[in-house]
Amino acid sequence: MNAAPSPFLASVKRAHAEAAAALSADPEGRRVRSAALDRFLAAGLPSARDENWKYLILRGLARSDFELAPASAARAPAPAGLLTLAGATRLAFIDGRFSAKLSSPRQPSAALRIETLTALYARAPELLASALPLDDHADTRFALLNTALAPDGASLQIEGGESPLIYLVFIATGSAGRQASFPRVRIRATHGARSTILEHHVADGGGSRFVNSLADIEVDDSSRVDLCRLHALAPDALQFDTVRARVGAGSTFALHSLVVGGDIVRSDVDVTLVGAGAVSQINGLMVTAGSEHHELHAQLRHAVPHTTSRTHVRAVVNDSGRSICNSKVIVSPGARGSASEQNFRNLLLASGAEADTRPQLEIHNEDVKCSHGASTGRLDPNELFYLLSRGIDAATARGLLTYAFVIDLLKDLPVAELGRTVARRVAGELPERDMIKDFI
Amino acid sequence: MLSIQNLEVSIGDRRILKGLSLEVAAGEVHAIMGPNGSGKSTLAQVLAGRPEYTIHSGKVLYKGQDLLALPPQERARAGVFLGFQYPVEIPGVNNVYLLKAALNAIRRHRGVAELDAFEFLTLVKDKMKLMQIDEAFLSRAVNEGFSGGEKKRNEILQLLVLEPELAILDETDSGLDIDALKIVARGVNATRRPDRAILLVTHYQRLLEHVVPDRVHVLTDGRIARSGDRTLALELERQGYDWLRQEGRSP
Repeated sequence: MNAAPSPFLASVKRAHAEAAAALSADPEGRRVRSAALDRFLAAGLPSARDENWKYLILRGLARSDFELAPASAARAPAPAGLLTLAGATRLAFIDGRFSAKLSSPRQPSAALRIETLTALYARAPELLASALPLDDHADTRFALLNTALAPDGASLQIEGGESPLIYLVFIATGSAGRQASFPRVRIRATHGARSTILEHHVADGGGSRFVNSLADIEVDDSSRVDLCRLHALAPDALQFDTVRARVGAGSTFALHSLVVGGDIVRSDVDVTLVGAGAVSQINGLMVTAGSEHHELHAQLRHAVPHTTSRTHVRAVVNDSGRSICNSKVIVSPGARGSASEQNFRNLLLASGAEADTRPQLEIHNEDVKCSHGASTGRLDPNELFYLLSRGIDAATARGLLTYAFVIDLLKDLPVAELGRTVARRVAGELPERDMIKDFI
Repeated sequence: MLSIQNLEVSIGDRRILKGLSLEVAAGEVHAIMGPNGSGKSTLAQVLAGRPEYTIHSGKVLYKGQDLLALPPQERARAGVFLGFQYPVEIPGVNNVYLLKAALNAIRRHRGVAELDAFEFLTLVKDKMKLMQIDEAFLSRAVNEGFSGGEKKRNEILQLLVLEPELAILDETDSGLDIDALKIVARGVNATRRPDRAILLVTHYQRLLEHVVPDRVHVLTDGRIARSGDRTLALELERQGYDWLRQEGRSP
């Protein structure tokens, strides 16, 4: 692994050298970013020896390089595909840089602070270091790159009360080479806060892109955060993504992870339940097209007693796509009265489609309730024939059954418009003339 | 309307229909009876276009057209309807969506205007009343959590809404109590018209007390062993299917 530096690592070094001076004005900021870079370079890229990376190494990760997106791209117009969400506060970033033009005005409020990370770090420079991963484990290593290279990001500080919907848009433009961006989100919710956030990764224009994203969340003191994440990048995009959450007493973190586009999208979700009554709910949907390859790796740590985790993932794999879902629930010694549930279902829509699922449990005490289940199947021929025998055409019948497979996951999304958008994308354009409001 | 000539069909290695012939004219109701495993359900499924069966020989003409050449969805649009013996549950697909999509696919094929939401719901609610189906049905998924009787009533509701020219009802009477049987029979009778034909596949003659057939055929071992009027069903009820098998063996 430490032989000749790969094109990928060379790109990381070059990007840092080019951007270091512009990224942080203060010497402390520059030091923290350099330290993160050094840790990443020392650890190197994950290899086939890292259990959770064995599927991707084969696809030539080390051989791919990238270039940093130029700042000028931040003046690009809004791409198609953004959602229209009434009453939402929108914060938009183009290639990781804030775009005032595409963002909505924000009302200053004591309980709800929505700002850029640049603004946050200018006020509190010590926070830059606080988001560094504690270890350089292969699964979370790429988050180091966000500290090393992210020019900006979104910061949400919610202290009590119910906040309006917050819409975070990350637009990735492309280039002939692979253009890189490092979107980053920081969320802190306390004092009984209630907040729904939609984080949308979307591509604009042609070319190819590498998006290395990080969401870093703390929910504490009887608060609840619903974070919806829509990954809808272009078919040539590579996205590495890290979600790290700590959930405190009486609090709930609900992650609704919807991956509907990107050549390779890999999400590493790490949730630690650190207070009694803490709940983690992960609802994941992965939909591949063509030869797309999507991975979700979730790690749920029950660190204290009376904590709950529920992980439900559905994958729809088309053509020659591949979907991988690993999840591991770790119940620490002493974390009695904890409950966990892992449920995975894969739908393979073509003979070349593949799904790999591995729910795991690591339990270090008694008095816990843990369940897991996984299934992989194709469209039911009986259901298909029933629909055809009623005159429904084959494409619509397949679309309806695919829709039926994902709808229990989409129907309760806290952002209804998001559910409708994704359902349309999954099921194809079902003939809307046959839809009757309230009945589908 | 329907002409089946010397039809031979198998599934896997098993030959099920062994040279079956049958003629059904418009306006008629024919009952197909027979013991378990005689091929009744196979006949129904093959007519609807179920892909798992292999057709070895024979012809099926529907209104003069080669029915076996059409995929199932085109048979449905051309006016063929199968009432399933075991209606399929499809969680996540709404009853009303299925009905409306099905009706509009058929109407487009016939070249008549599609119904809008109001016209459609008015029609469906009217038929639901006849079948004594509760309004809550409208917001439920296809057959999901339905009792056996509800599923069968739903099949007949679909029949009433889609108005096929050839209805094949595969053991629609099985698993019904006497009240549900009467409701189903009322639905079937409501579809009888001079330009439509109905094929009732049934094990018992119970349904035939309520839906009186013009012809009764007994299917044994993949062939029509005997045809007659409705008194044949009564004879079967008295003597059982063994009567025919024994008779078939004698010279």
